[in-house]
Amino acid sequence: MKQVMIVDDDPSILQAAGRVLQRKGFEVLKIPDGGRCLEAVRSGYRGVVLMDIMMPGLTGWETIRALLAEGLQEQILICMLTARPTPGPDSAGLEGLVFDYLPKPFAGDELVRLVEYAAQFASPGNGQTSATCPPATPSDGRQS
Amino acid sequence: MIPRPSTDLAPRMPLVLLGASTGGTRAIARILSLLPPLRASIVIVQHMPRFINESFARSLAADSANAVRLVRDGDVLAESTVFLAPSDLHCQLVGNRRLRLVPGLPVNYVCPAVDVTMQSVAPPAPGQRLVGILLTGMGRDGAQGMAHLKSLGALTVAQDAASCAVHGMPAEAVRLGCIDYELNPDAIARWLTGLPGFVLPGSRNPGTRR
Repeated sequence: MKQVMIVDDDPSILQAAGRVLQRKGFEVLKIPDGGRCLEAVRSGYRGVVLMDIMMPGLTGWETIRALLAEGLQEQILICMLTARPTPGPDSAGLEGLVFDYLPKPFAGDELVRLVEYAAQFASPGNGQTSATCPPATPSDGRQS
Repeated sequence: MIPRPSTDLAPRMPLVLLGASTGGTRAIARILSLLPPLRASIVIVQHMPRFINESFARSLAADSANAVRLVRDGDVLAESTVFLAPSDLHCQLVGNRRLRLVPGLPVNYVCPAVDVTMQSVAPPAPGQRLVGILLTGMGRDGAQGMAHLKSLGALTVAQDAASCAVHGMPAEAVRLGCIDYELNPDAIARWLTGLPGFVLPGSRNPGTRR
């Protein structure tokens, strides 16, 4: 089962986005705040995370900083759902950690397209199976 | 213009440097899917977590007329080949011919940084064409690199605001005054294909794959 996590304090977004994605066969984890997103990723969630920015408690950016501080960004693909057309200064230092960006309000098919695209890379176990393109590691850089 | 040595009649392999971040994977996939086999070599730095390196490279390769491979230290640039920088190492060109993967601190908060790769490009050999492309992304990585490429005589393209997920990096390059064209991914592919000497003889015209 393909998994996707939606982090948003707006229950109507969780419900609407959840319904659209469930219809496409995704198991949807609906998370109402950044703190519980952290807990879920600490508990081993791997895959796509759709993240609102403006949330009470931890904002979306603060949640990403907290994930980064624990090295947990390496198991998730973060897509921001936001009303802002461009990130503000509070995202400084998080460049490179956000896989994609979907402005609100978004159409259901836009959301599905984004999540299906991202999920092909983020499904559990992906990236550890192929022998055709071994990923480079820091030690590779020091050889030859 | 300095004449080429008479023993070197073949046009030099054009070199394309492409940088991208947030939203860039979809833009890159679109561009590569539209390109015919190129005489050029393309080096791509896309910010991404390491665990998707292989799956992203595979997905690009599955829909590209050019070969796509993750860079390995020491790789020699080749025509009709896309070299995708892996995560967590900077990727530098040596003599515009070889690629090196170098451990290092993040630059612009990222590793690999587009700026590091682009700023490692040397003045082109006589007759060699350089192209710099900067796609959607947060922050400003790649802007200085594009300015460097421009100073070497490169043609430079930034993704236009309308098609960007985040118009951060391209906007910064435009602000530096080093961008020749602002285009969407489809137009970037058509433009590249139309550049003299970029397409392998006998390959199909732009836009015929889709």
